[in-house]
Amino acid sequence: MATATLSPQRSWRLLGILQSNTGSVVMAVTILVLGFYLLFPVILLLVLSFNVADDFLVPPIVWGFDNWVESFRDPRIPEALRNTFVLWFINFIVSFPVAIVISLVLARAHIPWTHGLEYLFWISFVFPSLANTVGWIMLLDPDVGMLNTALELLPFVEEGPFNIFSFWGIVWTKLQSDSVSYFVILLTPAFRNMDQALEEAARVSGASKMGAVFKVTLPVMISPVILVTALQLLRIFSGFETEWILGASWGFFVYSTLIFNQTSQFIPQYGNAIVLASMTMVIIAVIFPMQRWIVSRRHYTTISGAFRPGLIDIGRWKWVVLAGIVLLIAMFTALPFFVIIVGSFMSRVGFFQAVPLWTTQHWVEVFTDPLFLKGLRTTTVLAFSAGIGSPVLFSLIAYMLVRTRWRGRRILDGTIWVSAVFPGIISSLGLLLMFLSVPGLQWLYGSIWALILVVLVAGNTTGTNIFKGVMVQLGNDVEEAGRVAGAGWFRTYFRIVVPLLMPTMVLIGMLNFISAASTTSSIILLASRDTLTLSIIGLEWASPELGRTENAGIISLVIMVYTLALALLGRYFALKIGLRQDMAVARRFGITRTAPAPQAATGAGT
Amino acid sequence: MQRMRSAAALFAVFILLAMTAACGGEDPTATPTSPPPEPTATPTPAPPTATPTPLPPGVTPPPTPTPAPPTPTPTPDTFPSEWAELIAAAQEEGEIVIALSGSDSRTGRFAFETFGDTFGIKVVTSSGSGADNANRILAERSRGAYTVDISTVSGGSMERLREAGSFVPIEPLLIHPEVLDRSQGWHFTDVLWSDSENKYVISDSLSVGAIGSIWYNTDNVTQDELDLINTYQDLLRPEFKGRMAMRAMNNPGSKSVIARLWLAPGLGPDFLEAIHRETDMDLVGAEDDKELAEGVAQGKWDFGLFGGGRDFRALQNLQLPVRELTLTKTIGALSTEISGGVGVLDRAPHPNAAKLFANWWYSRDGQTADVESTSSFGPLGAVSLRSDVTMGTFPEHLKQTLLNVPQWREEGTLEERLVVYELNDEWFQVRESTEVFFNDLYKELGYDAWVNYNL
Repeated sequence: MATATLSPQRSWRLLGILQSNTGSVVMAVTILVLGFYLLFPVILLLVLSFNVADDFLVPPIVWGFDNWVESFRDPRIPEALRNTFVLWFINFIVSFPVAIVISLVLARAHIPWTHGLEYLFWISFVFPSLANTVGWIMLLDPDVGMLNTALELLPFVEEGPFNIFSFWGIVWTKLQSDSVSYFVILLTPAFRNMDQALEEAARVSGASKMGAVFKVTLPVMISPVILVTALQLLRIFSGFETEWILGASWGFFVYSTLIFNQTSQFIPQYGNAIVLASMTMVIIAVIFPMQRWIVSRRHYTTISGAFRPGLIDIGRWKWVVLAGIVLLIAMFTALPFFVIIVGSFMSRVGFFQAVPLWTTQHWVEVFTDPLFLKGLRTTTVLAFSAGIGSPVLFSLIAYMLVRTRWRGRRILDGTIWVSAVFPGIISSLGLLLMFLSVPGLQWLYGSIWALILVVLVAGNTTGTNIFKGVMVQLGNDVEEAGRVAGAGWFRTYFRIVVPLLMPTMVLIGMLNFISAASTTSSIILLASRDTLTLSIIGLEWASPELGRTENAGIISLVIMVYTLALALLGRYFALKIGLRQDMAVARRFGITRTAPAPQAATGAGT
Repeated sequence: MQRMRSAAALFAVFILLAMTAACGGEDPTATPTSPPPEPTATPTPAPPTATPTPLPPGVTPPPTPTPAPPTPTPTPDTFPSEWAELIAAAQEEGEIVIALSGSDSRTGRFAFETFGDTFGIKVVTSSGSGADNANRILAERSRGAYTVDISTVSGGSMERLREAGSFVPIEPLLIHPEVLDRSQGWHFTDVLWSDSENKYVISDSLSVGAIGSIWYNTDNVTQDELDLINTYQDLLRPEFKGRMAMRAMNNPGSKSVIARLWLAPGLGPDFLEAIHRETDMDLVGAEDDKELAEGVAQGKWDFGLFGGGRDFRALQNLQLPVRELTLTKTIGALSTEISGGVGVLDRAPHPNAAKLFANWWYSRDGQTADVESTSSFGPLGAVSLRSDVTMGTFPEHLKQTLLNVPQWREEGTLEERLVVYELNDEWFQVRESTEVFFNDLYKELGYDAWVNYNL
């Protein structure tokens, strides 16, 4: 009888082959597992975009091209795409120079409270876009906005001048989290990784301070800058809440709100929505080769064994710059945040003649809700899974892409980018169909594990690429030193690479923490039906039938405060881990106060 | 080149798998290989005993009532044992999964917990909107997964589930005497339906109110102007031009009020077209009435038409200058609308629990739990069709309307005062066809923001 078992000799030979090709095996397994999870739903949905049945979700499937033909005939599509690009372009040209200056100052200049200011930008970034939008509505609603109402009290102002429900209202609201803060939190660490020696070389060669910045700093930083710009473009394309709330009521559609509009029809037009969403692939088709070309055409190593960070003294200007940054943060984040807090204690926001004007009823309703604790528990499980697991996963993928020469990197990289094609509302449907269609995956459907898997891998395009941006700055010698000293790969990775990446890990952890805490569509479609998170509770409060938007706003605040408190804690511990390295580096190079070690040698900065 | 080939091969495999998965759906219209699971522990119900009984005094029947079919009913002697067997079988299943409409996921939650506590069965209720839940049920069923027992999803989403063959007829499942014998404890002796096929979802609630509400700003509208409004056509008077707003009528949230206005005698499409063409009407697009109510309270518009009352009443309670004209004065006729109810899903994973729930829901205990749970979130928009349960926090003026019905009947003015809407084919057709009607009208009148290009 033929035996299926291998002889010991063959087993050893196979093991030997596997060991000698560890990289290929790891890469192949990663591509297969991750590729299947990320690409299968995308391909499944693309195949189903040719389903032209009256109800997309009701069999039998009717194959045809109608969805594609109809979608390209829809006059709103070119308009929505134009709106999206214009929105992105205006945001970009305003926010990019401002963010570059702020990042440079925070990373490379002597100004007081650098870390505090950077953390404020983190707060600004994680400030939920829904809460931010609601805050600005409370301020700039043409009828009941507090600012407009206050201005109308002036004798010469008949009507409040601001209207948040306008194109410029949308631009203004998005400038905060999607633009300035996004650039600052991602670019500051990269600028902080600059080796002072490079700029000093420029100065010695006769360049001025600013000349060194333009001729040395910015060119060396081109890789992270391009990457972050590309990610911001994708972010604007997938941005939804602000555009929907402020634009849909007067017929202003961008790409993402048009997709939402298609899926929220009486019978959801998923076929058309998939066609529309697949246009993101065109953008990815441009971004992907471009960023690969930029990364591969030259070296961007700024952190090596001889890394020597340094700060530029800008003299008295530091107070002016500090005031400018504080003003910006106060305007973009503190103001709407304060307004939301105040609004949550008003009987009805914007109605100062209401009786009673002030109330604690909304807070009482939220915190005495018997479901609140249940929602908090589930949110905590999900958010912690994402907050801890995602950075580890993404850093490993980025490591494979940047620091190894294993075959298949391009395929893995492409997979990561393509997975960003569909917005959550559609990709959740793709995952649902995948879990139910693929034998062996059904057990996951409706379990907390499916949800944990989803939140763990969510945001992989942004997370992996941010790690890639940091890793291209790490010199090989840092790792090689560990290997020479006898450490294995795991020891080297977790004792040297991870501490260098720790601040970036906290950043990605925080991003995924809040993303997991705020997710709704994947819970509604994939989790057990009684899964209840804070975001779902918020959604229920805000439903048209209940209309308790104030309560929903309080839930957003709770999620945000929860996230930031944990992020602060995580950041504290991360810095402690990084600090040991910094101290060692500082002692080794005799770094003085002008080159503060803690933030400088942590690789990605803080 | 080698890498390109590897990538292409990988994609090809994924595409092949995806195509296989895409085609893996089941045809719901195909005859199921096995009949819908029936509770094995339940004996075949006995022949019916209920015969149509006269309406309670003062309540008019709907235009096309559907008499209860000859549903086999257990005799009083056999019911207790049958009920006990059903409870035992349901308890053995241990769980029931209920897909809810948007508001039920919060307002009805405590009623479902009451069911669980009463019978010792774990109740799993969904979150999200009714449309979300309908999408999930249909997606599951297209892949052969049947995870839901009961649906309270209503309106268009319920019709979508019905059209997809997701429900089983409910009457054969009903055995509780309180549910079958409509001569006692019900406002109507005839079964009223929420689904257009009159087969799957029995209505459980009744709303009463104006055909379309009219709210106004008390600072900006004078009593003389209010006196001018006695019919809906009076809103077309030049005095009111440019002073009114309402929700866009091709908005999914507006469908019920449109159907009422469309079907009401003397109104219909002509009136709805005129009120757009002749009044310089402002439209708001939100799915709730918050924008409309706040705009009227703020004086942006003097009149807010055809909205739901909740948002306006909330502002009125804060002593803001809004009042409902249609509360103090009957403009045209009043209307009643029948809605709500539960549907039992085909191939329910817990058929006995589903059957038990359906019977409990329409019983006095079930409706009492529903009213109490919903009332705890604020005034009700509708009362239970059961007359033996509390009206809860049903607004006082609507209670009064119900109480006035006998007097109107006696006066012979009932028909002109009260239009009864049933959720029949005509109702659903109006809801769908008007969407196109208003879309075309909005295109013509230049309300570009409200044009839905998906239609």
